[in-house]
Amino acid sequence: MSVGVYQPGNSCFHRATPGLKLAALTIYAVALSVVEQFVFLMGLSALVLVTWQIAGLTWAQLSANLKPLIWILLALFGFQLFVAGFWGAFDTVLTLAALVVAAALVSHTTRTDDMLDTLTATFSPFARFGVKPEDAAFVLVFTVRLVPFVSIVGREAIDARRARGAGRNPVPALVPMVIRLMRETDALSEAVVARGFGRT
Amino acid sequence: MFAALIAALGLLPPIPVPIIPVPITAQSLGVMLAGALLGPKRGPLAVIIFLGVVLLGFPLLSGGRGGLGVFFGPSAGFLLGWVAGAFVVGVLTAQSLSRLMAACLVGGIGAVYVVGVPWMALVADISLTQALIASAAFLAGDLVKAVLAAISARAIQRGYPLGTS
Repeated sequence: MSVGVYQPGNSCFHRATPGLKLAALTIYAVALSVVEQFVFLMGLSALVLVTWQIAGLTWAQLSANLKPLIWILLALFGFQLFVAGFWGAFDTVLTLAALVVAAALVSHTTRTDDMLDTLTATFSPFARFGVKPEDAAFVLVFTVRLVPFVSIVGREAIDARRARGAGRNPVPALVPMVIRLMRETDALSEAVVARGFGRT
Repeated sequence: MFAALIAALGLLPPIPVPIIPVPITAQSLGVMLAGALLGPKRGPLAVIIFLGVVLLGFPLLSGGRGGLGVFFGPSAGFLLGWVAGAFVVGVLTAQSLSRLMAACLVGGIGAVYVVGVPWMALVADISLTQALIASAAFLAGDLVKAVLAAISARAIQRGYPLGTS
């Protein structure tokens, strides 16, 4: 199972630190939501397309990001058409689309490992409230590792039901699946504690 | 571990509702289960961990969505609402079916909507009432999921008892 949306490359966006990219994204988001004039709106939207090109990402990847949103955007456009008129609708929809593309740009050009390191650093100020940055990062990585495992357990639970002649209805398979996952969780946490992580 | 379970529920294909700006997912079922079984502390924590992994760029949300983008869309408030939902369900959770059902309705639907609807109104630039009407389309599905979550939670409590705090 392949996870992650990172696209390898060597553009200046790939080399920039995740923190810088996140800060830029935040500024961009604020600018987009504040700007009302047509010229600036078009300029900001064009900017994200240009940076997309500079980052070496393809148009196919761009449309892959917008495709799941197309119905939402169309519905929103139709709705705004009644409420705020054509330009209002245009403004709202374009703003949302540009934001999503900008955020995808950051995701596509940032390795998960780097994002994780940034996250560990970001957690540091919370250390005084009892959050251990390394533990928080460890839990995130651990969760990622368990995702394929959970889908395997789920598949086995459904298969077991089918083997007994029951249908493909996933709901009655949910209970044995969750119980088995909880048993595994206890075993895993014992293993983690035995290796010296945490206290409980 | 429960965070990973919520992710797996996203592997169930979302029922596409093209007209309304939030896809129906089975993932809120996982949110209610997390609250009901893990309690008010670990339940929301599991949801936060899950959202953290999504934020990192893993496409775990239903429909294979993930990354920063989803936290900017009109339905992002419902993702944050899951945290509140898991907490409220965790506070109200109990060992009886009727009380579990009440917990899932109040927390899994009420609390999630309280966060999600105003967010949608704000981001999509529509009024609260309009956002509420748009969200009402999901109410039927959410009611079914709340009932299913309560029934499953009771069965799981019987099969694998553990403290809920």
